[in-house]
This record gives sequence, C-alpha cells and structure tokens, in this order.
Amino acid sequence: MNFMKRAFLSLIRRKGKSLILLIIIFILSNVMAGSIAIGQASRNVETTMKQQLGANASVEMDWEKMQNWTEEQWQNVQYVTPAMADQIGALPYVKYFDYNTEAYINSTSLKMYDPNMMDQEYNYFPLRGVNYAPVLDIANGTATLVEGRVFSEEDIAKANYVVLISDKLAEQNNVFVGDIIMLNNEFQIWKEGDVEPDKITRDIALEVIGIFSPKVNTNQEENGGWIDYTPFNRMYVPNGVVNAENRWMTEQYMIAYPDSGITPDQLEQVYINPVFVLNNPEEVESFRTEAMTYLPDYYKVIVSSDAYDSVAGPIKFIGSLSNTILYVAIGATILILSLVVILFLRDRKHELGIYLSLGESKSKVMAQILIEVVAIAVLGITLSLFTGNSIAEATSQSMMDLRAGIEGGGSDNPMLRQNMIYNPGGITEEDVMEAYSIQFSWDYVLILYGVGVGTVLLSSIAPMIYILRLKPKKIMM
Amino acid sequence: MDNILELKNITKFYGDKIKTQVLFGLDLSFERGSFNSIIGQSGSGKSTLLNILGTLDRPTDGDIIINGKNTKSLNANALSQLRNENLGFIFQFHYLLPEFTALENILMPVRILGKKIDKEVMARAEELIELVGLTKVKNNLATQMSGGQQQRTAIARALMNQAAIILADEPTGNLDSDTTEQIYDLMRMINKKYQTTFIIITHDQSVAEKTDRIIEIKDGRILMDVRKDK
Repeated sequence: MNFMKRAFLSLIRRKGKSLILLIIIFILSNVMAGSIAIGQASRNVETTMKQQLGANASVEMDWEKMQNWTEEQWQNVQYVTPAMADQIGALPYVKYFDYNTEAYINSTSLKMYDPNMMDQEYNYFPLRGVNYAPVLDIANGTATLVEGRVFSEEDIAKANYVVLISDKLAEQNNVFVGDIIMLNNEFQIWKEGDVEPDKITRDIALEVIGIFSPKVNTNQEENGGWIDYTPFNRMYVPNGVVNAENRWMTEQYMIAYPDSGITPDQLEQVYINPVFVLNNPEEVESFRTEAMTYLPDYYKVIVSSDAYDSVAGPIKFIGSLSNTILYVAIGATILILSLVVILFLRDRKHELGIYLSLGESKSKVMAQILIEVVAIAVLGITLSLFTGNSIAEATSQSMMDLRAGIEGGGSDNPMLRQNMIYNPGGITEEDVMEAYSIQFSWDYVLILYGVGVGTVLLSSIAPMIYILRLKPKKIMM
Repeated sequence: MDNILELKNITKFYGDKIKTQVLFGLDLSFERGSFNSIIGQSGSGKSTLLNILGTLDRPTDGDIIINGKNTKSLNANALSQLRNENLGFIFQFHYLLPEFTALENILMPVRILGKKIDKEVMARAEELIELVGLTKVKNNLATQMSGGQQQRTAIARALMNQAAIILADEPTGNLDSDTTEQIYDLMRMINKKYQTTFIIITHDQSVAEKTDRIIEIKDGRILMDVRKDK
C-alpha cells in the first residue's frame, strides 16, 4: 500500500502541478459531460417519443416509384385489398389492425367546423370506416373519447349506422350523444351543356354514440388552413357504412355512364388505408419486411418511428453534433493528457529513478503514477458533473435556435399536417423540442465517470510506456 | 573474512549491430566489511562495473553473487528485492525526493520494502539521522538543506535497510573539500560501526588513497588491485 501513500503525498505536496492537471481535466471533462448530457437527452427524446407513438404501421403507395409509370401501368394499378390487409394483420407481430376506409359525404344540415370559413353550400365530411371497435385513433391517443361510447362488435359486424363526432363539430351544430344526424350522399350527373348537374341523393341517418376530442397542437388549431380542421370534421362509422356508401356511388356511376367500362367486379372494390398496431416496437423492421411480401412492389410500409424521424431534425442534429464533439473531446483528452503527464514525468525522472534504484518494482511505480492521475481525474470529473450539465443546457438551446434558423423557423412539418406521413400520435417538431430536457440522472453520472476515467486510463498508456522504458542506471549515474 | 560480493568472469558488450566490449572477463570479490575504491579514467568501464555490481544492469556473461545468491536466474522483481535488501546507493547528485522531508527520504527504502514504520524502524531512522548529524534538519524538505546535508541524507537512506553493501558513485564529486572530508569520515565511521562493505567509485585520488583497497580499471580490465595493510 505504500505506493498509494506516496501517490497521495505527491498529490498534496506538488500542489502546483496537481492543480494544473486538475484544471486541464476539468476543462476537458466539461466538454465530455456536456456532450454526454446532450447525447443522452437526444436519446431520451427518441425513446419517449417512440413510446408515445407506439408501434404502429400503415401501408401507402410509394409515389417515388410510380413517377415514371406508363398509362398502362396506371390503368392496371392494384390497390390494397381487405384480403391483403387480413394477411398482414395475421402476422404474429400485429396486435390489432384496421382497414380505415374513407368516404367524403355531404350534409345539408350540418356545418363543418372551420373558424376561418364563412357559410358554404357544401359541407363534405370525411367518414372513416372502422373495423376495430375501440377505434384505432382513440386507442393510440390521436383522439380522446369525451362522451358516450366507442363501437361495439355488433355495430361493426352489422354495419350499424352509428357515428362518433368531434366535440367542436358537436358544439357548433348543437348535437349531443343520442341525437340522429343526417348526411346526404350525393351523386352528380353532368351532361353536355349543363350548367347545373342533376343530383341523386341518398339520405343517411346516423346515431351519435360518442363524442371525441382530436389531439392537435396549438399552432395547428390557431393558424392552420382548411386541411388542419380535418380531425375535427372527421366522423368515425363502422366500416360497412363506408363500404355501402362507396358502393352506392359506384352503382350510380354505372347507371349514369353505362359506357364507362366499370365492371361489376369494381363494385366490390374497397379503398382502404390499413393501419396495424404492433405488439413490440422493436419488431417494426421484421414486420416491414414480411408485410412487403403481401403487397404490390409499389407500396411501402410506413412505421410510427418514421414520423418521429421526420420531425426530429433539430434533436438528431444536436445528438449527432454532441457525438462528434464527444469523440473529438476524447481524442483531445487522450492527446493532451498523455503529453502533459509525460512532461510532468520527465520532471520527475530522478524521483522515479530513485524508486527503481531503491528496489521498487516498475509496476508499483506505474501504479503510483496511475493513482495520482486517476485521483485528479475523479476530482475533475466530479466537479464537471454539475458544470457540464449547465453547459449542456445552454449549448442545447443555442444549437436548437441555430438549427431552427437554418430550417427557416422550424415549425411543424407540412407533410405531417397533410397526413402524408402516418403520424398516429400527431407529434410535431414542437412536441419533440418540448420533450428534450437535460437531466441530471444516474445514467449520466455513470456514463461520465466511465467515459472520463476510461479516457484518462487510455491517456496513461503513453506515460506508462515511458516509465517502462526508464533505466535507473541512465538516470542516476 | 567471507566474501559478500563476487564477480566471476564478467563480460559486457554494448550495442546490437556493432558490438563494443567494455568489460573483459573480470573476476573480483569483496570481503564483508571492507572499504574499497574503484578508480579509472572516463570510458574505462568503471561505471558499467558499478551498474553491474548494483544489479542495475546485467552482464553479457559471467556470474554475480551477492550475499551468497547468484543473480543470474533472478527475474526483475526478485532482483529489485535483492537490491532493496542488500544494496544501498549513494550517487554524485544526491537525488533525494524533493517533496519529502529528510526523515521521509530516509524511511523510503523501508516503505518500498512494504514494511510497517514501527517503533523499531523509527528508532533506527533516528539513530542514522543522529549518526549523519541531521537531527536539527530531519523534518526539512530536501530542497531546504545544503548539498552536504543532502548527501548525508542519501547516505542514511542507503543504510536504512541495513544494507550490507554500499555502492557510491563519486559521492563527493559535487562537494567542496571540507564537506568531502566530512562525508569520507562519515562513510568510514559507518564502515567500522556496522561492518558495511563500501565500494566507492571516485576520480578523487585523495579519497581513493584513504580506502583499504584500490582497484584501477583500464579499458575494461583490472589494471591494478592494491590492498593496504590495516
């Protein structure tokens, strides 16, 4: 244990050099601590956001692949069928899924919710067909049920004419749970020379069984265009209702335009946007690969983490920058510390020679120097735990501002607003930025000590080689 | 008297590609309690000989027997321990540890040996401090002592582990004549009191002439080996 005592005495009595080493390690540790804190905060955001998004996937056409299609290819395009969705839904990764059929239906008695719009003649409401009774959007948090109930299995199986509407729409039209609302599915026939089309209307009576509140961000609610109010005007109905209304429209088309070439088969065509909720977020890539085997090659599977990736630009930028800074700091620390310690050891050459000539083993001399360096390093790292955290907070804010400046304000992604990317949690760049927080956690402490002490040990390799090469006869005589 | 240190047919070459022979089959033995000097011109091989005697360097060929133990088969750690237990060094430049006091420097070989600093050890340290006349400055840092005091501290340190052999490399080379005389007297007194074997390498003819045996090295060979009648 005596080499340890020597190390301690050496640290105490060589105050100047100990202080210089402490300052160097403290400065470099601050850079490492800042980078680690920032990197960890970025990873935490990703974990939190992906948990919030859940393990969801949707299937969409890959427009990039279809850019140079011929007319023939377009005519033969194959849409995703419920049968395909069933096959994908049967994969072991899938917890539950929904077809998500869509229809736009007018109402003469209801007004769409849009504070920016004056009264208008047509009020087309997006109807979303539901196959999964608890309603996917409510199950995954895109909407919250505020009154009434969701669908029963019987509602879905029998295609009952029941509906869930948003709180804003209900309030605007003075509709309550239990009321019957009327929609008017309308087919227009345009003949040559017509100024006004002939209209065939089919009235649809829907019983309101529940009222939901969609999740939208404040910015979208206050400043958005018409598209931003879609979640408020969306109505959830059983899948069979949407299919029946779409089928009726196709039938009207066949009657009105008998030469259109529409076949009875096409009557059965159902347009769906299936969404699959997976058991485990970690199985997303396996699901993506297997799901693609059931789809035409111009389709793609979009997973919820893609939505995170599309809005996490500033955080990813910060995370990536912090990683680079950490690697540079580790490199700089190894280089600077190695040189400084060797420089100090050169000054102590005679001392080391004395130990060796007095019969001390080189391993103990190396251990003494290692203890001295590591003891100072632990002190420097401990001090930098707190300052590094503060530096990380200040630096993160500057980097976010910088990135936001580069991206021209960095508000929410227009692709997301227009539902071009499946984003079930409705997360925006603002959500991601808000979730970003520098924390003083045990993980941070342990990682900093691990990286810091590890770096210091690596920095000690060169000094240790220097000691190994020492020959007391050359030093002392 | 028995031999405390023996060299048998010691040969030393330096260099890898171009080999230079600096010692040519030396045979030497030193009696326990003897007071010896080795003289020779620069480049004669006397420092190489001292390094080999002190186990700080290994010979290319030949045997070194210290206190009955052949060093040939010992590894680095065993050699370090043998050195710690049997040999004490006094260098021209006293080479004390500047951060430590005179007393701590003197106790250093005991610490390196891993022994506890108990009453007995402290008593020996105090005895040596008194012997070398450092009682008043024993708690001074090495940097707060004169050259003579530092060399006395180095001598006391060399004796702390009750080393049977003291190897001194120009121990008075850096001191004025009065201090040289004092250091010589001190070494002689220790030699007589503790029966410590001294091997002193020196340029100083006056110091060499005061020793009981003078060995002159020239071109790696023993040119002269003269023993005085006691």
